[in-house]
Amino acid sequence: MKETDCLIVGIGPAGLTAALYAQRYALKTIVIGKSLGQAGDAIWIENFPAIKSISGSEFIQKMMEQVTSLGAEIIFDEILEIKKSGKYFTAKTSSEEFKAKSVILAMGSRQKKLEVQGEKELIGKGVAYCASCEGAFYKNKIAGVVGGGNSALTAALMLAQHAEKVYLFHRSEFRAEPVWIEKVKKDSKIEIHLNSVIEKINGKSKVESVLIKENNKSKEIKLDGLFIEVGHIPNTELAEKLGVKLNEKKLIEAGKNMNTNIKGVFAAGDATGASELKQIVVSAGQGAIAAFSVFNYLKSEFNE
Amino acid sequence: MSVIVYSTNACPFCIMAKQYLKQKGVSFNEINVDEDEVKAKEMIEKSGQQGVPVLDINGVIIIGFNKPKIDEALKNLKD
Repeated sequence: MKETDCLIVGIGPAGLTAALYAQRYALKTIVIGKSLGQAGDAIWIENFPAIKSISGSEFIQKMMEQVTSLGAEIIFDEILEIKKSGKYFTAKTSSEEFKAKSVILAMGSRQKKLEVQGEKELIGKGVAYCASCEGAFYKNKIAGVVGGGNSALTAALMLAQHAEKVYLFHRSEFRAEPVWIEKVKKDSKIEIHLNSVIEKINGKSKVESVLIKENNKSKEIKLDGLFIEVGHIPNTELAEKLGVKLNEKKLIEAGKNMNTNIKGVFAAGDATGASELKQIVVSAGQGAIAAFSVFNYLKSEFNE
Repeated sequence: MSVIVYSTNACPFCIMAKQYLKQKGVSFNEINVDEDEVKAKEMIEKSGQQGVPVLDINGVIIIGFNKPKIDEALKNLKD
């Protein structure tokens, strides 16, 4: 069993900034996560201070390098369970067990599925959730993107660099930052379909077309792939099982010190309801606060 | 023993898979299918899909960063 001062769940901007600060406070820190989160999927990050533009995967890699060089350990795995036993917490993955004095929950969110016919069957065969990963396969092809937030619009812009044409479908009005909306509107390869709902994805061994309902009229549009960027669901099942209080949106209720209702458990980032603005800079800030709270907690509870 | 990782430039699970192999001390050939269309086709033929990463561990094809499957394939190599 591995012992640690601070166990951080989630390898995103919140968890990794918490790990960075925990290193500054000289706390033994283990970070565990099964993915690099939503930030890792980001095509371009252009709103983080001091960085003009960077890909999400590079950004997270740099964060990981920074915290591991300072001594934190990062483990790529899924935590199956966290339990409180006395003053300590125990956690386990499929192959390891951990004992921690404190926990920071920073597991973020995962992408929503579209939940239409053909989606599940055609994953990897034209249906995709990561344009930065698979965009290059659409050279001179026709791609579609569904969604209206920053992820959807940046996916459309990125695909337009490769594809012959990109359809952008959204059920209502765009909710992305105005800078992305302007760029999408100006891109001659992107055809925007608002008030459009995808009803079905067609194809046998690969995506061939989508059936959409646009302003209540059905039509079929031929395309080679569909990128789904329709929002996120918080990854808070593990927190709920531990007894952490969630709000009506299933987000962790965190106080101003990023504390939760359980002593020794703190939270940060998109898994919390602490901020309506879900951004890397916000998650990073919350991660720093959570680490500072852990530092104070360990001092008072463990006399460290 | 031959281990191939088919990946693209900005794919988080490719980063995780490569880092995991490095941690285990497994050397591998990395093929960037963003830049190599012939190899991209080869990957799609081998795996029957175009999601990345795809790992080829001595002929065992693994789609995505699937730790238990990677461990099993590596174990079989050693046995």
